[in-house]
Amino acid sequence: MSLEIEDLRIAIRGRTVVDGVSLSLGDGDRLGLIGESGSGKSLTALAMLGLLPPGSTVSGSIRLDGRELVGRSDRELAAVRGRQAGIVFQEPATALNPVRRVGAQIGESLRIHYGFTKRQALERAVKLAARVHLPDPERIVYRYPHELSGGQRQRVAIAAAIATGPRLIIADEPTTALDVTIQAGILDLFDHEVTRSGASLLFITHDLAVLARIVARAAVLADGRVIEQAAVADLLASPAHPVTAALAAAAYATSFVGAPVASRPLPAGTPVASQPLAADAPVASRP
Amino acid sequence: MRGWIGELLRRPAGVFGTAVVGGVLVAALVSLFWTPYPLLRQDVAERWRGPGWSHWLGTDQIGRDILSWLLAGSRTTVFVAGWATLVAALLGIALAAATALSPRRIAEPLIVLVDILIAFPLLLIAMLLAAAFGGSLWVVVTAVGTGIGVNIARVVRPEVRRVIASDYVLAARASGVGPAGILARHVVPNVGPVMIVQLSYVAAVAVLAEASLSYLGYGAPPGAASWGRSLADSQQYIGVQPASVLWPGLAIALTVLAVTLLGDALREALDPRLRRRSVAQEAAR
Repeated sequence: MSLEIEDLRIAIRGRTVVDGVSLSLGDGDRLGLIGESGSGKSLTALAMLGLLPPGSTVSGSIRLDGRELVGRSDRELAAVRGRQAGIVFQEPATALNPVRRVGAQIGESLRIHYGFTKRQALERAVKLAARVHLPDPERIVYRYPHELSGGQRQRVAIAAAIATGPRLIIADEPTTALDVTIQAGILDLFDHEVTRSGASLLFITHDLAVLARIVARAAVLADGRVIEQAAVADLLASPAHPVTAALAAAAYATSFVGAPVASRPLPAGTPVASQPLAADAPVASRP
Repeated sequence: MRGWIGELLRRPAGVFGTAVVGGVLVAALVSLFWTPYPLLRQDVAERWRGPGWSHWLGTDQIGRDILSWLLAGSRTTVFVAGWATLVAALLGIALAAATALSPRRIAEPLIVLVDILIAFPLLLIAMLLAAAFGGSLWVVVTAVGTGIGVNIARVVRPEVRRVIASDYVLAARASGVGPAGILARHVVPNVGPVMIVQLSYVAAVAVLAEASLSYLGYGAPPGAASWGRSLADSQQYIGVQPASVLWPGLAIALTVLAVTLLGDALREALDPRLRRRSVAQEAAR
């Protein structure tokens, strides 16, 4: 599903937080959106689904497959949410309803958009749980979120987001709250699912090292503006903007341990996404 | 929600609460059709009997059967507790919804109103009402129902706000869940356990308030069967037959305790986060 964002501006109670962002994402493409906290990347994602907090005003244009989303009613947007676009949020600890069973939450969008019965939704939830590599899928759907680990909960959130087979998947810092070892598994899962379904992926993070594992191209956001848009390899190797340089330096400092930027030039032509992050980062398919 | 009855009955508080509250309900029902002795039967020759085979709990100063009066008194208790809980629940939900969901210019005056109403002590409201309209059970129902209804609104409102602002509601909206679905599948299940505790509190307070007000003469009319009234009647003769005070007092205390414990146990049974499981039970699943 193609996504075209043009001159998106968001103001919350009069304060401009996103200031003329333009992005484009072709059908089946992947795009990273990177920036520091408060740079407006999450709000951009929320704006796509019309989920901005009360008191926000949006202008500009967001088109999904040519269909304009800005200015649509909540009811019209509800038909897009979870059906054409699925989103995974940052915090797995709070993104699941604590008093509902995991299976019901995975199958929720199927019940809403495709009229599945409780039973059908649960059966599909078991399959989805298996697809996101949750252990013991038949039983885990009867569990409550607090009985699961953080990584497992994030897998539940991913299963819920992909349940209807959306053509656009938005990942809003889905690995930030997780341990490094768990992160690798979740990233692999995203990679696998997006490849398998052919959906477009918008991956939001503040960690360039994480981004390098999953997308080839990224836009850098600062103060609500896109300051740079390039291949992730180029952003890492030759950042054009000081903010990008800082993000790249942070990526090297945390992930390419002991290798300062200058001493670790990337060989020309090497796709960064195919390089291991660090020798000791296990690439496990399960947490 | 599956298995919540099992969860409830796994807890001693749940068993005790269910048994006593169930017992009171059954007693109220049975007393509609049958009591060991007719309520109006007085047998002065039989007065001041202690507990025995003919009168299980003994008789009072004019030879009335204490057990029969206790059974009949439970009707009053159930009546007041039931209506007060209903009034408090409806008022509390309506006010909580209005203050949590409506725009600020409507919500804020309501919040102030709720705060003012909370400041009035329950018994004071009841006595004012009784002074104005005469003592009756409806005075008790109105006083307890509104007095605690505003309390419920006060407690439930922030809970509703918390749920609405939560990440999981955002996530649910992102999957296309509409406002009705958010209310039914997210707000109600999360706020429900809090509500249950509050409602059990209403019921307990209603039982106590009915007894106190009837004791003071503002509640059940003279001649009506009520635990508070029985307590007031027998209290005059505490020097003659101390045991006769014991029974209505015991009935009131046990019922209040049971209702409170039942509410707590229900909340634990309904809220999956509060269900305690041992490691062994966990392994056996």
